[in-house]
Amino acid sequence: MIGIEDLTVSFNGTPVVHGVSFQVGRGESFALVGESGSGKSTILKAIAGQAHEWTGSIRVGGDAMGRRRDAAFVRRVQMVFQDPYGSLHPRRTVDDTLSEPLAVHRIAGRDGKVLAMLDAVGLSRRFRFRLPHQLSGGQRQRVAIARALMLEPGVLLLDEPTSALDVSVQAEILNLLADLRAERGLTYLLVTHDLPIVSFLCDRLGVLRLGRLEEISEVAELRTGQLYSAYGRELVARSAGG
Amino acid sequence: MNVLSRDWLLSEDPETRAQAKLGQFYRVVRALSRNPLAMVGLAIIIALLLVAAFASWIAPYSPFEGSLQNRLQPPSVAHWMGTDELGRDIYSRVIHGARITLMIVLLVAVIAAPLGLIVGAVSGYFGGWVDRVLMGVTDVFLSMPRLILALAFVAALGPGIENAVIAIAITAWPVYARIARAETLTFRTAEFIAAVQMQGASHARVIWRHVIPLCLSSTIVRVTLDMAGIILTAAGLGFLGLGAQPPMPEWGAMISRGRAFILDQWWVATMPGFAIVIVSLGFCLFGDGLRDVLDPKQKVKS
Repeated sequence: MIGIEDLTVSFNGTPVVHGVSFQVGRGESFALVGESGSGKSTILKAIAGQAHEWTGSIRVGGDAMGRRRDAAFVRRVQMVFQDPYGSLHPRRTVDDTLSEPLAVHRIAGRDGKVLAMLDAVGLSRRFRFRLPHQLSGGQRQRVAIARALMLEPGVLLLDEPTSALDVSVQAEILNLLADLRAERGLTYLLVTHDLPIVSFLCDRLGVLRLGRLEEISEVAELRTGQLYSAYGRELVARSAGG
Repeated sequence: MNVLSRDWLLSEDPETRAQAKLGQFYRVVRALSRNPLAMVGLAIIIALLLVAAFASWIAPYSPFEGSLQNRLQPPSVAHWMGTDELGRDIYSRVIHGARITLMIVLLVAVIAAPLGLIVGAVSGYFGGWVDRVLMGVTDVFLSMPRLILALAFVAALGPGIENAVIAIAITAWPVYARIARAETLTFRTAEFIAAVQMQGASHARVIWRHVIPLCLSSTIVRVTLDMAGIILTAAGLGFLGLGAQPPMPEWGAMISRGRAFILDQWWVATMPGFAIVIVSLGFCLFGDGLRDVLDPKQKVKS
């Protein structure tokens, strides 16, 4: 579904991701892990079309991506951002936020679709006309996930979707993401520094260090601590040590 | 259904879009009504609106015709504010002047605020060379004193009330552009903007539906606070003979005419002066109250 070949991404001429290649199959959940500054979010931005200085090839569903993302792309790939406090427009109600993608793509039947989506992400319908400041962090993140799903994309890019949330709420959101993937056959590309999330939600993972891919492994190998790169084992050890 | 009750308006869980919008509006109105000074300002503005609307009925005399036997009469029961050098009733002229003042203020606001808002939002949103060009133009306008620039424009366009409005509008927009740009820059890189771009919204849509609404409240506040300045600039142009032309009862022009008699017949210049001060004060007080209610930074704190 997603094919990355020899991807190099730069910011103002300084390369931060060096020649990264990996494939994510249809319906698969793939994690990019690494410390902050390892370039994992940058790869996501390049795929999403928010970072423009890149070379190499990005393919989605077999089509090579250019510098601009067209309407067909955004209906296939959507993103959930890290900070639910920053990713919702402060003056727009939940209804406005969820209707916007339908309005942009001139899709009819907005009321029904919005209500169905609220149900799908487990938000009560009475939240429909609330403003973001009247919602909790977990509820906001549910709205952000609902917004990403409004266009019924096959691929979700998840940028640390739970790291800004309280621990008790993290589990709810992770369960929701797992359920939605099972129901809708979604492909996930998850960026995180949290290894337990990877073993819960993902099938395979790529370990990034200083903008280079150290290894790609099955989650089973992560669970049993059998990552083959020294850096991967170091991450696991650090995660276990707290 | 208890439609339009307090509970219905303040409900945390509105059932329709209309209820949610009305509820937000009601919260603003309620917060504003708790500020006595803002209410005084609002009362003055409403009074100005009513006086302007019903000038012909309220004014006891014609604003243009007087009798020369009656010239320069002090305030009395017949002429509450006295008469001017042509025997015209100053009270009637001040009342009719409210229309001119209101027209100037509204026209300037309608021209300058949207122009500044759009220039600022576009500039802040795109950044780069668009920003540099637009802000360069803005800086050129900002670098000159407002009244002098307006004077220069009126001198070029010719005296008259329409040209005064255009001149004041041309000098007023750069401030709004600066405010809107600064506001836009604070959330330009926010994820909610990235999210809506990610959904395929065009730049025009992002600016119009997502950027401008966030700049709107600070611009509205600034416009109300600037109203006093606009009135004073208009009066200044009138005083210098470049705004409204005689015999129009524009307040600044009236003060200018009364200047010749200020030592012996003080009321000729003083009465329209009072009108300018009171109306300016009204807009200032109301703008101040609006800022307390609408300013997003204040809101975060509360």
